Amino acid sequence: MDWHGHSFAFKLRIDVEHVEAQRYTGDYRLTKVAVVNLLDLLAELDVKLSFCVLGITAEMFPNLIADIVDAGHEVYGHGMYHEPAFQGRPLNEQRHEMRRMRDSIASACGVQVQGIGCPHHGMADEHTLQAAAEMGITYVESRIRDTEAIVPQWHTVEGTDLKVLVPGGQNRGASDYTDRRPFWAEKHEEAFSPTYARQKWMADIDWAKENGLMAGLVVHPWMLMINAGEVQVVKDVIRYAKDEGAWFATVKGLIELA
Amino acid sequence: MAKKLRVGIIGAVSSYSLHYAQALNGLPDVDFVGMTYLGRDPKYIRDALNLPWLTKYPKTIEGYAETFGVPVYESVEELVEQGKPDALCICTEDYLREKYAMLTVGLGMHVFLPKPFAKSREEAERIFGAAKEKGLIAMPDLPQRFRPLWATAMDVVLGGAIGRPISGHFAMAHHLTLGGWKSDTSMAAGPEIEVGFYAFDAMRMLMQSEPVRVTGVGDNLDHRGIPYIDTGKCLVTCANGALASVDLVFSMHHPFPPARSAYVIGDEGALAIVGNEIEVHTPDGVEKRDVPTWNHTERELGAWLDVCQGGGDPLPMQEEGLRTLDLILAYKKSHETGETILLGEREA
Repeated sequence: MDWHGHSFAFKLRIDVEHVEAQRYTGDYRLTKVAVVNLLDLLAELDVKLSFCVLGITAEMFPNLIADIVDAGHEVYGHGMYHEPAFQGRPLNEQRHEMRRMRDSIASACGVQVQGIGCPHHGMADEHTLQAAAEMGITYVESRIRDTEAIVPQWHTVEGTDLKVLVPGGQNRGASDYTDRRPFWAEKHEEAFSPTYARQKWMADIDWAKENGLMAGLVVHPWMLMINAGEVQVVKDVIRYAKDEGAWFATVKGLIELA
Repeated sequence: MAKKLRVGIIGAVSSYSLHYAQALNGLPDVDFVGMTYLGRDPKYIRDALNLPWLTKYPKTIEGYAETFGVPVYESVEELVEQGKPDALCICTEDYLREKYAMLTVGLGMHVFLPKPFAKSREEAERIFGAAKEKGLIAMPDLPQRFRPLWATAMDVVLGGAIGRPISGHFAMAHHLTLGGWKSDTSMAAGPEIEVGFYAFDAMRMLMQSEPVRVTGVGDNLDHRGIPYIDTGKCLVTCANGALASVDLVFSMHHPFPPARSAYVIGDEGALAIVGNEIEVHTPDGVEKRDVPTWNHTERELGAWLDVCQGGGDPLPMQEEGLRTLDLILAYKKSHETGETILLGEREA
């Protein structure tokens, strides 16, 4: 597998979502501070990542989203409001949210997003795929995957002629976590452990390298402000992925591989 | 002939930092002597000014100096020492306006406060009181009173063309102003106060009777996650029994001009404002009133400076500002608590 000239891929996704900072820490402003600090850190590490931006955060902090793009990183969508999850909602609601997300991000930074990373650990359904396709969004990162595939595959939306790309299911992914939200998105989360997270995330990179596949990691900037030790772990993991020769996957790059 | 007044600006992070600079340069009896940016970071200034209606203006202090032909200073002290102003406009973040207004008055200078000029009556009264004690002029910004459209509409009502206003509706469409410090609820006054000085002051101007009973609702219906309301409605009973409604529309993402409109029904006629036009309806028919053209910012700052030169009394405009602020805060309290707020009649 040729990952844009690399033997394996690492997709580090940064979820920019001030509403979650508000919900779990009581201060939505943490997101802004954390993203600004993270941009500085990424510049120092000389790495470009993929930022998954909530539409309402693009409206709240338009300059911040423009700064992400100006720093050379990719921006794609994370839904409009974060709550509730897409899955199970009527098509017209999902369509409204998808349109608002697309337009809010475009208004903040001039980017027409090509993809969406569905919130709530990817809880989505066929309506989500249809709404995305109708809004010109090509790539939908959710629990709907092509289990046999490595790279994204075209998926025909049920009952329509519309098609979107869904991720290959042969890869693996992880997320940072915190005991501030113990029962979030159907998962129980324990207190963040820098030692365990470092081992696990680096092991995922090793696995991807050994198998020529892609390892994923979702990082929440607001957690960098409350999880003691996470900043250093993220730094170490990025350096490790770079040193091991990973392609830092982007939505654009994944679409090109489809 | 009165001597030219030397006027400066405190703060580089408000639309008014730019609009007032332009206006001061256009006023004949004014020397615009400079602006202090209070040591704000260049990016902080750029983010604060990165607003759709400011595209033609500079976003850097260097650009500011070049565009407006004035020195820019890092601190108030430098502005005062080198610019030797007689008066200052406070164009800081909302939460710092009282601090710098009091500093200005303390240094013996007149002060102009753009809207929202205060977040509470007490705050405004502290500023006005301090200025009065020192024989200085502190003036609150009430922009509608100087806009040709609304000033003409008020002339129509005062001229008796529609009789006694008995019912009115005032709708103001405005986007939620976000970005830079406006996204921080501890720094920005919020949309009710920011836009209320348009809609609620227009109501008071045209209804010609003070509000005494205020019932408001407000919610965030399409901007969930942003800690402000995006839709507000208010019902007002005036002292003479007239009824008015105010709509605050912050929820639009597409052009919808009718959301910015107003009408006043009188017992002998009616007045309608749609877009930039005024229609007067009487038993004789419908007449369009010409709306003159002038720069409302120059006119408002000019009026303040005339008073500073001894040409009037600041108390009436201060009182108007306080009454409009009372009404806005009553609306805010009503929609936050679900209660109807009663306002006592105050003597001017």
